[in-house]
Amino acid sequence: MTGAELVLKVLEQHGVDRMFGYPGGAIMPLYDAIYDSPINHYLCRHEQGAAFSAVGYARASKKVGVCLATSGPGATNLITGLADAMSDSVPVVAITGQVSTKAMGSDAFQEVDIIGLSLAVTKHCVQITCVEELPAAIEEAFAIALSGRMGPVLIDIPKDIQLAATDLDYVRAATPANAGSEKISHAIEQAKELLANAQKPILYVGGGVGMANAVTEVRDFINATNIPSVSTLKGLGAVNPDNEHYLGMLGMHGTKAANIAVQQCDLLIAVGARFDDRVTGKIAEFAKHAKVIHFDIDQAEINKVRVADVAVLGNLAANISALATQVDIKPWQQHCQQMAKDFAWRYDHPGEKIFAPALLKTMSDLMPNSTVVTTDVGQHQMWSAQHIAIHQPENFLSSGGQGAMGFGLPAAIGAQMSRPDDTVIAVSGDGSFMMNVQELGTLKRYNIPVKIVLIDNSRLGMVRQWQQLFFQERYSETDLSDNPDFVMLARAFDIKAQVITSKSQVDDALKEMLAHDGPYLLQVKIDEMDNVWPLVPPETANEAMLESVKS
Amino acid sequence: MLKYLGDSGMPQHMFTITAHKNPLVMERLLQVVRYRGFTLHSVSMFPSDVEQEVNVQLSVETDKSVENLKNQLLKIIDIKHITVEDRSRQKIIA
Repeated sequence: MTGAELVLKVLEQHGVDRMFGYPGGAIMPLYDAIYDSPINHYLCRHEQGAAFSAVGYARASKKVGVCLATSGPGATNLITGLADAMSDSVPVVAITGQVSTKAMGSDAFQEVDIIGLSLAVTKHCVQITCVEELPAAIEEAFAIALSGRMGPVLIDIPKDIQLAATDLDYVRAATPANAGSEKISHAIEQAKELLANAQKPILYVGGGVGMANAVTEVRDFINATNIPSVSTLKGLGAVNPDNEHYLGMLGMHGTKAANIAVQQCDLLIAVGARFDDRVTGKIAEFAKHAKVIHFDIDQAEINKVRVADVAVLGNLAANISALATQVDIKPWQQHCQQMAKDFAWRYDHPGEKIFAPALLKTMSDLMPNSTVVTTDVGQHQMWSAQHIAIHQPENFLSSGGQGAMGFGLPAAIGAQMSRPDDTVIAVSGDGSFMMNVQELGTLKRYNIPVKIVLIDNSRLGMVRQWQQLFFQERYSETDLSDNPDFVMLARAFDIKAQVITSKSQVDDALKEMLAHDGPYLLQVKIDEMDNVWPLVPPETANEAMLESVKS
Repeated sequence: MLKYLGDSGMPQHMFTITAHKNPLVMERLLQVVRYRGFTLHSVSMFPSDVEQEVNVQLSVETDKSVENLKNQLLKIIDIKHITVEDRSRQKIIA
């Protein structure tokens, strides 16, 4: 067996059935072995697409996503995807080819110090120095990617090691049971006391809930206490969107009810959330009357941004279940419910032009609850977070921490490969879409039935909105009115497409898209001056939201 | 009393670190110290009596929480153990 064959054997035994990548010189031995491997490899058209597809695969399936690239530029092209996986705690294993051991350090063709480059964007990285190291290194990579706070791991394999013959065989050892993982933190009694004494508690739900497989327990806790709850972008889907005490997303583009409730609360219970600046606004003003209970798996998140009165580390499912206690908070519940009612979204909108929030709400009503929605980054992303009802965290994939434009389409490809029976919709914008537009080639090649809803304002909309609000309407480099003809572009890849421009077309177009059994692109032209509201200006307290000032 | 503080006038903290012997470990350590906004004052690496281990002594000058830095450093897979002492305070007491 060669090193390359050994790599695939170890991957296979770790349950890898799909991976994403792009071949090149230093990883050719591995691609040669892929030729005979039962693992399905999907050729993306750029390594960044491969990395984002691995992220989408991992997030939609809760398995490890695997991506491959050659040395040098192939490896550097993975970096943005790895940074996204690092920020959003996604278990990804990236395998890069490296120039042969004897050429390393000589500035060889397509040589780059990918280990040095990946230090800041991976949870761990390792360069293989002999073929015998391969099984343990890959095994460790999977274990690290999946343990504690999950994240990406990079394995760099020199070409000569891929080619090396070895007598090693590999049989995966049985995984020992994770002893003590159900242990309840001793801090839970203090947390219970804070909750019992709170008049105005709020549950602040983050992406960690889904990743900790604690959705059921968190929902049970919410049902047992009827506590009002708010969600981060990555937490969407953890709380049942139909829960009567759920106030929606908080933060810069959060709902008015969520932001005001958090500012007024006297106890903030953070579960799997990290007080990101897009959530807190001006940190000194964030929930400043509240005591904080912080549940997390990562010790380094405790007291990083906001000092916790009680920190509960470890298994979220077990700990949150143990927190459930009787609370008497009726006036607070009623106040929150009243705010939710008073500040509910409005979809009445004058004129014939398409109003993106209303279109996304209609799409949400039409699509099955099991649909996976991915987004790119910008206005359409925030409208998606605001107006699409998400029923499980693994059904909403958005680049949260990094806000990486170009995420949506390749992430949707990965999600669709992991969940072939579910509808997958990539909501994109005309700016973001062009950042990984080459992945239309991947859709075509494998006839992947991803639906693309392209919200097109012919602008780099979110930046344009900020220019309007904070840069005296100096629209520097945000006019994209010379975009290509997106329908023609999709058709060039054999992808069915249509463009709509008026409200009366919305229902039929969405129905046609959802009923189509292959890939589909729906281009939705909207007013270039439409803005996302509410908006909390940077470094401002969350109650100081700007609201629907028509451009 | 100020003479016991670092050049920056901020307290000095000494991290004594046991790490897995990996050529990358120093790069990782220094990167985390810099990225998390701490000023490196001194650093030394020593071989350990234990096979596949190294010891690192690293001091930073900061008025920020060294507990936070310690927790970030402990996330490096190759780091096994860290103790932190406040050098300025120790000298003052001495």
